[in-house]
Amino acid sequence: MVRLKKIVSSSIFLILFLLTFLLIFEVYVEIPPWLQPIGRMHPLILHFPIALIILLLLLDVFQSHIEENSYIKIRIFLLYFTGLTTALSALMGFFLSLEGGYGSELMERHKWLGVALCYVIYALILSYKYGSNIYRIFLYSSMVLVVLSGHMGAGLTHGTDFLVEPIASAEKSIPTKDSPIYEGFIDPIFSSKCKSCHNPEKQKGELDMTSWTALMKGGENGPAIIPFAVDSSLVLQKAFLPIDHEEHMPPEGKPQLSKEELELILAWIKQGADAQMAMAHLSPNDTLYLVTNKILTALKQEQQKPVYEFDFADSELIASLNNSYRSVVQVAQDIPALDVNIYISQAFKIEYLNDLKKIKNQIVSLNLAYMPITNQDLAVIGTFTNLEKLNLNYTNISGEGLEVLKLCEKLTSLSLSGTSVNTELSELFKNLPRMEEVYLWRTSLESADLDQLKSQRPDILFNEGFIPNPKDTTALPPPLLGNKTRIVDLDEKVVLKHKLQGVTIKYTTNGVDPDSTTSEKYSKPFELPDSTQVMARAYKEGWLPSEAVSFPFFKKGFEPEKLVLLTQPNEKYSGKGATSLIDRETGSAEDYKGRAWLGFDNEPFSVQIDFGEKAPTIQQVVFSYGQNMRQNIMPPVALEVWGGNDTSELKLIKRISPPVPSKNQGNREEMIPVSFAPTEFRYYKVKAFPIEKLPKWHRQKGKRGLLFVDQLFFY
Amino acid sequence: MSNPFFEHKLNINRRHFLGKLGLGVGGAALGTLMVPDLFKNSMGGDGMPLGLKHYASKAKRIIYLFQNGAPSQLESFDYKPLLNKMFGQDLPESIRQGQRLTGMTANQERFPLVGSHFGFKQYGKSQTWVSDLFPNIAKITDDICMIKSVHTEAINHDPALTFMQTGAQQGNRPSMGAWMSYGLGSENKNLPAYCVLLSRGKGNGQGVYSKLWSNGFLDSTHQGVQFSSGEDPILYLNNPKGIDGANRRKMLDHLAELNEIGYAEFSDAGIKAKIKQYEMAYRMQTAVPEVTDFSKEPDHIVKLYGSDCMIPGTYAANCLMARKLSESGVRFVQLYHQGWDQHGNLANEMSGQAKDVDQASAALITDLKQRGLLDETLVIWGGEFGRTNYCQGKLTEKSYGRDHHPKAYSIWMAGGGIKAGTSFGETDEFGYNIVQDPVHVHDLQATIMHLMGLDHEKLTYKYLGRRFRLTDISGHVVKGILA
Repeated sequence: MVRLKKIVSSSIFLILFLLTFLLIFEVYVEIPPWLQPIGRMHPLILHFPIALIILLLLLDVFQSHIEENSYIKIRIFLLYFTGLTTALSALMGFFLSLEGGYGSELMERHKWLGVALCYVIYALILSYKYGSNIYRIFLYSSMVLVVLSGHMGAGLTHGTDFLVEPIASAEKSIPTKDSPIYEGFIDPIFSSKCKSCHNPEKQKGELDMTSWTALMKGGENGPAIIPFAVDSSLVLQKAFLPIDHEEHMPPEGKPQLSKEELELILAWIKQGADAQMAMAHLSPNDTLYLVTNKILTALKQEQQKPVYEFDFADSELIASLNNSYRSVVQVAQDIPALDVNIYISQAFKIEYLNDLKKIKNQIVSLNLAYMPITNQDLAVIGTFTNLEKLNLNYTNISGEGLEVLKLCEKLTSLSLSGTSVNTELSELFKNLPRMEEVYLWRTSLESADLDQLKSQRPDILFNEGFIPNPKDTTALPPPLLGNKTRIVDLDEKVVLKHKLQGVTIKYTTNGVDPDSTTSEKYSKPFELPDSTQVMARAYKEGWLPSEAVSFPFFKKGFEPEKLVLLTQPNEKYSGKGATSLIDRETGSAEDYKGRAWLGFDNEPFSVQIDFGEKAPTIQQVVFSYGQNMRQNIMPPVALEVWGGNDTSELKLIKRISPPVPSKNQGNREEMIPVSFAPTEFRYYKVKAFPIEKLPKWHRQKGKRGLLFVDQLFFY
Repeated sequence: MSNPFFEHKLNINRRHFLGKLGLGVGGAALGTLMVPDLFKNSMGGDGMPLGLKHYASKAKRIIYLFQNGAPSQLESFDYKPLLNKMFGQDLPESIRQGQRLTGMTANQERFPLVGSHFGFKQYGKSQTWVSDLFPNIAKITDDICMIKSVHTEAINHDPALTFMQTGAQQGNRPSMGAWMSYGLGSENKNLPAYCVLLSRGKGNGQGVYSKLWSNGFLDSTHQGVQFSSGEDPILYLNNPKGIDGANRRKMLDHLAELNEIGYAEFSDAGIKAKIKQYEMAYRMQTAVPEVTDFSKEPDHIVKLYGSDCMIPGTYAANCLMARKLSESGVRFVQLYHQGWDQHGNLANEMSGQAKDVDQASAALITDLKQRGLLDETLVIWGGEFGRTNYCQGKLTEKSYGRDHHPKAYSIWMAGGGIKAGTSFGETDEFGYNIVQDPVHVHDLQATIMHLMGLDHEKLTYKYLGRRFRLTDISGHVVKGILA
């Protein structure tokens, strides 16, 4: 027995020690899942301490009726047993509290009372030897503690109103537009913020605020509310005093009236503070109507949180329904409703829809947009009786199939955009009382039918979507180039295309802006005679012609054997060195960081070209360069072509000076052909000079310009 | 306690203590080795299961139209006529209150005020002020909530951008899209849950970097996937010449077999991840062309978004792509439009930038709406900070610039759970300080998460011994903008 006592005593001490430790470091404590069942046994154990403490109390009361020896034995046994169960249930309670969902103030109080009870019981065990007075103090205080914490604990599980619920008034209902504003909106404000001090039992300042008549009667300073008199109604006077003012109401530290509440009381008094006045009596533009409505909407919203009466679907079933093309997800973690999406029309199988019968009660939202489903396939949807939102955009359905939806009485939103719905839908909507929004953009519905629907159900929002103004003439997007490269061999053709249907493309190959009358119409890929700019424009009825686009095309020409750069490009823009000039990879005029470009700033560009032993006959050099004037990337001011059969004796063949642009010309790739009398030299040299001073119109006029070289071609 | 033996046992000395401690810690360590998750919380964050919303909410997906470089609020949505009246006068010190400035204007001798070069009008039932630069956004004011009181902590682009996107300025945290992917998972398993689309206007530009769509310390599956701005938004999805779909399937099946053998031998989780990624890539071969195909879009749509939407890589094309991706279940589509950094030549550059984005931004809202998708999609439009009410550089009637201003700027939101047709927050008459309802970047992030059904305090990830979250250690849900 003594040994058992020791074990129990030290176990209690240990548990207490552990509990204290955990409480101190509570913020760091995380409960692993295997400990959670232990926490959940708290409600199992906690009834022991309650009963045992009551027994100890009874034992104390009836002490004189019990033989002393037995009394001592029973008491010791009871004491240790109480101590152990109390400590255990406190520890378990602590674990349970960490599971989350118990964040309330009630929880905090319950926790600390429980902990206090533990220590008191431990003190009780230690104190029983030292006389009955100390013992009794601890015993009775433990009784008080166990009652209090037990009550709060019950409040946590059953709700605080559990005991009085059957006799308390029916649950608060939301006031309507017909209920008196005083009763529905004003009185609840006073109930929550004022009545605790101003009621028939406790009349601070002799004021009772529990009824309209009492308010009109007022307190020691006169009536609390004087109809129409906003300035002299004491309720408002006190509320509008600065918060640190002694007379301010509600007193500092107590919950204050919110802005909306003050607005409402003010508007109500201004309108006469009538006890019976309701929203229905007011015009919708009236201030009182507006502020009341604001509060009413907020109240309604609070109640609108979805409440579902059906059960959760089996989580394994949900998992099995999820696959690559179908997602089935709970609307939120504690809500049984399911949200279903099916994606990728090419992969669609009808089972993806039909399988959903297994969760027909839980589906509240279903997205089938773009799936190749037809009228017959919709039949299964009729069994989804809790469906609220259905998306059938761009499916192959028409009006008739929708009839089955009248079984889905809870539908609030239906998307039918892009379908060939064309029949009478009014019968359907008669059966869907909750319907709020219907999306009918690009359907085949006649406008007369739509008008009829609108007049029949003015409460539904029928969204017809964007219909362009027939007078609106947006410019077409420009044509696109179909070729992967703009350097073409003899047999390769230029391909132009456009993403819109029914577009006419007109093009030129001589650098002239294309127009609708004289330019060639594009019908099939065409060949190019020379390296040149291809310019194109798109035309379509109901649109302005597109901007002209220009694509420089290059014939491949002769390939040199070797290139040597005589001047070095800026090291940030050194591309692949000399090979960048003949690698036939063209760069983008927007991005100069790529390896396609060679960038020169301080020195002119100069390259020596070697055609080897068998020099071809050459009569033209085409020099291509980038232009992005905002980034100071300009055309060259001069181009020189030199030639000769010995590198030390090259002669100038031709020099040209392209004109300096007179305004910003946008970002593009340009080419300059330099033609001369046919030659058969082995070596050539091409020099290009960057602009030294940016022209006057430029934002950074006077600064050095940059020169970005792309490719060189020889013909 | 009279048993001397028992009492002796209570005498714990240092040696005993260390000995027992060693055994205890060793035991715990052994336990952890044998059952690795013994002390690990199996839930994501604070006991929240991953992949489900914490509470029901309307928004399922986000499209974030980021205006990179910080568009001026004073030429867009925050109308301050006083600045026009006080043209050229100095910014009163009582307003600036010693606010720190960037190196670009800190040494300026004067801070002359300058008003908007563009007119403002009120639009819609909500009577929202919008400048003449945004005629199309003006038409949708009843669908949006204009927040004029956002403020941030950073004063330069990179930290401010990083702060907005990741909740910290340093750039080592997961971005908003990665958090969404982590918390809610992906809706369409054939597409990345987080896609990033870039475009660039002609205005003075600031770069964007992949750290802005980084997964940080989260699993790499949550990383944003940057789409290419060329014809093929995702490269290398086509089968190479000579390989057809059946061939590819066979190849993947055999590869998976080999990988399974490898997994059986090494038990490396990375191998499993790789098998999954090959499978996803295979499914993307059908999904991506279907989702990103613009050729079936009707003329209506091109007129709605503007003809630029058919030119790959433009903001308009990205907006249309964003709608298509979002419609196909991509959780978070992030756009960046660069070129909003108007330190000089503001009027000129800003009209170009506004022209780039105005029509397509409004079109996106209209387009989502006509498909019944606006209420489940949250659209956010805005930059990383605002711009000063005083001029940077030389002030003339026609030309001026504005420096960075972190203390107040405007953004707007539309769609899922947002109170449409409202303005929230106010700045003072100078447009410099917030006088009503300030919204810190962390508040904004908390609100965005709330709208997506996530509690910003509960969606956490434990890394380096700390539970991290998008809103770091602050942030409050802005109730005033919720429907």
